Amino acid sequence: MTDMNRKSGSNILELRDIDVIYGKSVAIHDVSLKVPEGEIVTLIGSNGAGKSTTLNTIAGIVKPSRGSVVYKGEDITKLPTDKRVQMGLCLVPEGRHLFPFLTVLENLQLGATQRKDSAGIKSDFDFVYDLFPKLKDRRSQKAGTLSGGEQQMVAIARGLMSDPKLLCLDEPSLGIAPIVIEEMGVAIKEINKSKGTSILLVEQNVHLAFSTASYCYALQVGELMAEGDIESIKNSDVVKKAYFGGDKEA
Amino acid sequence: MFTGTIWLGIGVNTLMLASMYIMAALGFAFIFNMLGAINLAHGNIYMIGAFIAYAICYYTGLPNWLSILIAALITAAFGLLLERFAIRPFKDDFSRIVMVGVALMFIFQTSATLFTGTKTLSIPLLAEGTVRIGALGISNQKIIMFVIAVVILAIVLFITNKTKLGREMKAVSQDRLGAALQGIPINRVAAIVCAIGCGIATIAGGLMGSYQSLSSGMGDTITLRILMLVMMAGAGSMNGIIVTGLIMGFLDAFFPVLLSGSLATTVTLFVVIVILLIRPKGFFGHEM
Repeated sequence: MTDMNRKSGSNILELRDIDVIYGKSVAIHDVSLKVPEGEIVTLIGSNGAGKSTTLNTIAGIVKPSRGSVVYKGEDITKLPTDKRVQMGLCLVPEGRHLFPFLTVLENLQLGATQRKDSAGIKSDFDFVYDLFPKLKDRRSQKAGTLSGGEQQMVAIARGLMSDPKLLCLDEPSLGIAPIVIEEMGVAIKEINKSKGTSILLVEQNVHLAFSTASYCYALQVGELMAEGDIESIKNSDVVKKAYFGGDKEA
Repeated sequence: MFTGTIWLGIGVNTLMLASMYIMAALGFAFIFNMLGAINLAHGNIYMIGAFIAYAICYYTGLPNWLSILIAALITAAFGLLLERFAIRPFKDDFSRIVMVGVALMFIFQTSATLFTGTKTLSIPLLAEGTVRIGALGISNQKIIMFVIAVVILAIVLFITNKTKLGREMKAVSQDRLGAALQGIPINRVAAIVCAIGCGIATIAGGLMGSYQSLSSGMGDTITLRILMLVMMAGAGSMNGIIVTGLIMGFLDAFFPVLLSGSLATTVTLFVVIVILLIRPKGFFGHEM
């Protein structure tokens, strides 16, 4: 369905030939990918394939040793993270990284810490409370006392409070109950649909990835091994084999 | 064993010393909580700040309170440099930041010793006279020091609990990566916090330099207190610093009544070590 929305040439994000090296080991090599404006793109791969490294490079937490990150047509490879957040590029990290001793409300306020438009902040509060009604009930509770699923909701909601144009989600399904994973999928599609936010979803849970995204990249041991529409990826032998047939990686 | 007057006197000194210790410790504690970095030079800002206040007062003839205030602004500006060149590059490397801190301690102390020579320097008292409560005389100087400290602490508590800067400080101390991803400019927040901490430490140093005389060793004395009370409070605790500051102040007010000078300090530090053996992570953890 979302294929219909794809406008040719208008990519909100483009990675060009990215290499990231930690010490002496190559984490990702020659990774190039595009997120078209207004679409949900997913990046799949097994543990250690370099998915988080790719997202951390996009967010500016990790600096690539080669290649460039282009956001809204501008080279942002050298920009610090806070400037990227100001431009509407937001990463909800793996493991959530909430502020455990602050309340849900304070966590959400901190998501909007760089914003000055109080009207916009207020309407985004309404939006995230609509999206995750549980958070409204729990707004005065310390974030560290919530369940895993609720914490993931806070993490996504906190990311949304920065009013992102591109939302990068790093394994939102990690460590949460299957029924909540379903809810996450619905919420991700809702964010994309009603706010027009472009989304880059990194997942190991292929079911969640395939049911939300329109386009897929597959990473294996730091390199892209396949890309394509969800249908073609689902049926590609190379992905089936690598993903479901075990992985030689140590 | 003690009369009521002696206990009252110990109580007054406890409050006065505790308020100075807490003011001196704030900058150190905030940087430690936020970045996990130990800034050993911080205690010597208290000493250098007092010397700057003395110099302003002595060479320009400005009133003592204004000299202390100007010295606080100067060291606050210096705090920005301290964060940029002594903390930011080394904050993730324990041994290097400790070495840089020790080096700065020596530089500050030697400069102060060179400046003092053999003279005894003192900033003029902020207030003369005493208030009598029964047999006990409380100097107006102590009262003023305590009131100034309470006002400053109230402002600091307001900043940490009610403002955006305070919320960002807590966020950085609870999850640095999470804070960075919300777009909180961590280095800038750390620099502002370091500047505020240096300014407040200077006010404490200036007040103590007006109550007692100045010495280049006062930085070491306070550094030891700061380390002790921050460790006793536990990482990430703001209210804990107030409580352990009071404990530290009490020990330093109580033992000198029984014991002579350096023996009293030794016993105080021994008691603190016993407390840390019993509660290795401190009394309070992380409500910040």
